Amino acid sequence: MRGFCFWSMGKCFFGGLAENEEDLVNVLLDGLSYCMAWMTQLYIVGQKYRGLKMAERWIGVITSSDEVTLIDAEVGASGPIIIQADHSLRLHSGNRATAYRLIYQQLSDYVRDQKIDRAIVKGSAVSTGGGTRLVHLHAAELRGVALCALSGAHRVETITKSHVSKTFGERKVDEYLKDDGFWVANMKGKMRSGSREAAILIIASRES
Amino acid sequence: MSDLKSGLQLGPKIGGGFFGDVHSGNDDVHGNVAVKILRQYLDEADENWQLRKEDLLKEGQRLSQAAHENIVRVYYVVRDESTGNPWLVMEICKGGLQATYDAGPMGLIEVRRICSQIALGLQSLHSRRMLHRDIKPGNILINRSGVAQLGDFGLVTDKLVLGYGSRAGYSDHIAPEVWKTSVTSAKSDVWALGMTIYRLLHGASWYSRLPAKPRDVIADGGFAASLPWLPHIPDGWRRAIRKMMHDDPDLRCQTASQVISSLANVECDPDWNCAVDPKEIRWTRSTDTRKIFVVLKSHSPRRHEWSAWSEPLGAGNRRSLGGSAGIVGYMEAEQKLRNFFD
Repeated sequence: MRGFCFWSMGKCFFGGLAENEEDLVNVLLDGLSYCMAWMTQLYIVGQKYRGLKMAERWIGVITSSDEVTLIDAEVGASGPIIIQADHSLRLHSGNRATAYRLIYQQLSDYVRDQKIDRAIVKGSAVSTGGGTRLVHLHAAELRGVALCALSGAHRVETITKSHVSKTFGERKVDEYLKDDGFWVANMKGKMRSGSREAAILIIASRES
Repeated sequence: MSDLKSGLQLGPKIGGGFFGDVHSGNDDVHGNVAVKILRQYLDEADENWQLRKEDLLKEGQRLSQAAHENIVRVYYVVRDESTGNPWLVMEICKGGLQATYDAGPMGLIEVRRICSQIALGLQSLHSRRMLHRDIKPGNILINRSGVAQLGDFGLVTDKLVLGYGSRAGYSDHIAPEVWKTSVTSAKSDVWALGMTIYRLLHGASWYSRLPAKPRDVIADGGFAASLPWLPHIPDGWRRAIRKMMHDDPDLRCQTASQVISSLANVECDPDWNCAVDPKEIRWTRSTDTRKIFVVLKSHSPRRHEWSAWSEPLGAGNRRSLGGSAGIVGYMEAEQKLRNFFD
């Protein structure tokens, strides 16, 4: 570690003189990159000595007939959940088989590249009013594609909205979704209000 | 240590560029492969030549790190027995999009399929903290299964600070902010992908007729808003491409994933075949029973006329579907054709 620090500081300060503008940019980028690497090493060692456990990356996923909404968050054992990303993956129009394949690849790439530990998908439920329509069936198809694609995460599970209502908190899910104060207290970071349904899957899973 | 011998058999040259040549080859495990071989230029100093050989090794390492279905696969590196020069042995592809682009505009469905796959590869590359910096039709390859793959990692860099790298790439595909700051990012790769989509939809002949060379005007701003479009390109496509090529990086599609989403609802039906010649642009498509033709003739820069008709696939009569009824200016012809295609 000590050798690495001296080496990076040397490279940073004595990296060479720029002969022209393009060189100058390269030299500055070089210097900055060594400083960043040095600071990252310091942070990692600091964390190690403080005995902190790295938080896990979880995603909450909901599907509609033509869209997958995904909330990616860093989840510790306690404290606010920190949002890393809020994505909408839209299903391409036209041939559904081709479009499903594309969504499958997007989700499986995401789980692998972002090293997702746990994926929680809102499960299918029987419609209580108005019967099952084609959009419900299409949403269920897309949910199947998503579940399959997310299987690269260490743990994948489905939770229905009614299950969350029964097991989490004292109110129904829809009441939490409308409660701005609840979200300020439980999550940090930027998130669209339309993505709260995906995020509550993460909160409820941590508490269960 | 015993000497190792490769079973690689070098075949004929199948491509090349400034860097050297690409040959086909055959090895015991992978069967047909592509072999990238560097060539020392006549006046190249030995020092530079050594550096370029090292770069080829680095390119192989980067390709290996970036393994993905939509990134061309590298198998291994071997050295020429007599010269010690490295050869990069890669997955062989049916070909690149350069020839397709040179032949003329591609269909909407095919462009969306290919560019979505390329965006997947690019997103994965960005997630691994690498920038491609040279997205263009010539660097998109189609493998034996018909899957589009990003190739040529000669300019890929993983030397990033807060997501930014130094400038490189084909000058027509360099985003406006890169001209000003000499710094590239994932957003400048997105800009280059937007430019690639524009070029694939229009073909080389149309692109060569742009009023000014892109490299001379991109830095001035407003480039995407000033692009001329073939009349059959639907509004949704135009909006999506302008969004990818917005001058302000913060108002652009922020990631390659957003590019895929922005292509979700673009209109792909009807999917016209289009051919662009210096004096004529011709569109055709078929229905179950008839073939439809649209022709725009250019008699001079200011004198144009267009006509549209259909012919039965079997017996029957030709039917007129519209036309300019004489010579008109380009603006009028273009507007009427846009209405026709809508």
